[in-house]
Amino acid sequence: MDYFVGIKIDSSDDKKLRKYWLWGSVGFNLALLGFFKYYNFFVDSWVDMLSAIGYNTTSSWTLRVILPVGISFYTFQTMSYSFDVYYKKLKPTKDYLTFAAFVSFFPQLVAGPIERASNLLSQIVKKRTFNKQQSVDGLKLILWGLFKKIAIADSLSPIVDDIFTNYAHYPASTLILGVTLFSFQVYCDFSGYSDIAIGTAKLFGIELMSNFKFPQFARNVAEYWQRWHISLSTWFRHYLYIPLGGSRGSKLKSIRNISIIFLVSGLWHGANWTFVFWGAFHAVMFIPVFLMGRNAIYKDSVVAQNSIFPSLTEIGQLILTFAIVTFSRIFFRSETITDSFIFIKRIFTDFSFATYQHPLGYRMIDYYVLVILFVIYEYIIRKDERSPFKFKSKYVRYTIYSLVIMAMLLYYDASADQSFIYFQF
Amino acid sequence: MIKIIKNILTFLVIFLVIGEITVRLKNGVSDIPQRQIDEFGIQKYYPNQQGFWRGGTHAWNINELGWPGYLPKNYDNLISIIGDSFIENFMNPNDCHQSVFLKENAPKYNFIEAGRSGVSFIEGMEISKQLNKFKPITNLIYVNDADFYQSLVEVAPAEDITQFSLESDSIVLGKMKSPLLKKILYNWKFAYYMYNKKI
Repeated sequence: MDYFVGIKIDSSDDKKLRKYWLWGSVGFNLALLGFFKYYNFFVDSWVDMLSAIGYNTTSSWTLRVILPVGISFYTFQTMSYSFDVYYKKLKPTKDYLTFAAFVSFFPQLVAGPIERASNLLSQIVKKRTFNKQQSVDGLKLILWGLFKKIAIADSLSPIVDDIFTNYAHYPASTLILGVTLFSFQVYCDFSGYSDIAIGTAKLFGIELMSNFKFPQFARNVAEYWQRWHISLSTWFRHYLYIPLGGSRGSKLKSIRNISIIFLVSGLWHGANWTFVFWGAFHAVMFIPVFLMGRNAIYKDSVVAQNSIFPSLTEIGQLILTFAIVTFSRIFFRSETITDSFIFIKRIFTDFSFATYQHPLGYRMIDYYVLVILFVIYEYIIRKDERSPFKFKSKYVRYTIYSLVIMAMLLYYDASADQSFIYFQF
Repeated sequence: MIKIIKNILTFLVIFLVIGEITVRLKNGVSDIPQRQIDEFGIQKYYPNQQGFWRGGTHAWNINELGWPGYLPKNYDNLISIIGDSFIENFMNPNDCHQSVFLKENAPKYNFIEAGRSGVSFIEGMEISKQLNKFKPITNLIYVNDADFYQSLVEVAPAEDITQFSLESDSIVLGKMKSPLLKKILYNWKFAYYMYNKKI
């Protein structure tokens, strides 16, 4: 569909016609996404609403369809193609195979980064030759991605699953531990996948965009969104926020646009009110930063830009931002919105402390040490997300490779083997 | 080419050192106590050893008699419990050993354990003879079906366990199997970890 739409948009000079073709493409893509991902959500929500006002009814409209893996990612990627052609940023390809390769480029097909046609398509068309340095860099990123996925995300998974499943039986200290570890789990799981995808693409001579830039070191919520799932947040900025007017109009209009972006972003993640609340919560946290004019002040810098250690102010900012983002993950991880609110209520009304025991009987201290060392290491490499092992001394590099490989061996648990979290989106 | 080989060797050396350190720190493998054959031909552990079970969640210890677990506080009304890995019980903390459980349920008795994985029925009998010096009121020998036929050289010959020979009508004492290799393997934690992982 988008292949033909691209050609049609390009071949026409009639503004109206071009717009019709674009809306045709957007409508078709959103219809597919809506059918597979949101149809049951809206039917169920409608039924729930009727029940709430006294019309008890059951739904016979709910469908039993399997959600295609990664549908949100490649739908957005193909839509970006139509948009770029429409905005004349890109000439459409006339070669269907090239277009198909762009849509189905396997490393990033199921969980991104959501590439722009202007970046990926041009590289697919270009003749590529083997580049040793690029391949070595790719292998390093793959190793780092595997470490994040296997040693951290998967090893934390049984703990997080246990705490979120049995949250009603745990004290507040354990719930805080659970959501904090989930923050690291989801970051390592998703950024690990992105690193593997970017690294694999490098082996084919293709450079994908960065998807994460150490979001745990963001100094406010706005900076966090410049560092987390960059390919999606920039997609929304380019193709939704700016067309809606961005921040050019009145403050009220800007606030409306920001709210729309975050609500849509929440819905993009899944057909569940938990994601809508998650998006809304981020909008509420983002808007004050925007109103204070601090949403772009950290755009071109990292924490402790010209020093080894962050200042006290920066430490405070990091902790506050991390706390806000981690709190929002209660919505992200809970099964239902009711679970989210009970989880939060227990944190605030039942504050007590108890030592947490690993559900599989392992030593918890090993996991705390792993996470702390990981944060310290990411802090050290915080200026370049594409080079996780950028050390001059080969002895240092070899030591870190060894540590990373050993961590994967020692923390890997076949019983806790998990697929990537973002595959469900 | 020489540079590549040098780099590979350098990496291997660093990897082996890091591997050894990390496996020890995370208790990637269980510590294995060293065994010996005592003056009565019984294969048991060197006394007073300590170590961690895999994952470091609990420690095991070998008492001064060379058996895992606690010794009783006194030896009156003593009952011995002899057996294989079920009695040896490295996988559980000392507080979860059979002697502790029985003491809780029968406080007027004292219990002494003598367990080693692979013990046959005949070997259990030999151990009971050794424990008789404490004058137990009874010896409990924990056995499975296999422990009976594994006690006979002619039925299931095994060099490392004590057996009975029907032909010569005598006890055939077990021997240590590859003691040096085991000593190296169990002390070189990284190698033992890789061996267990089948890498």
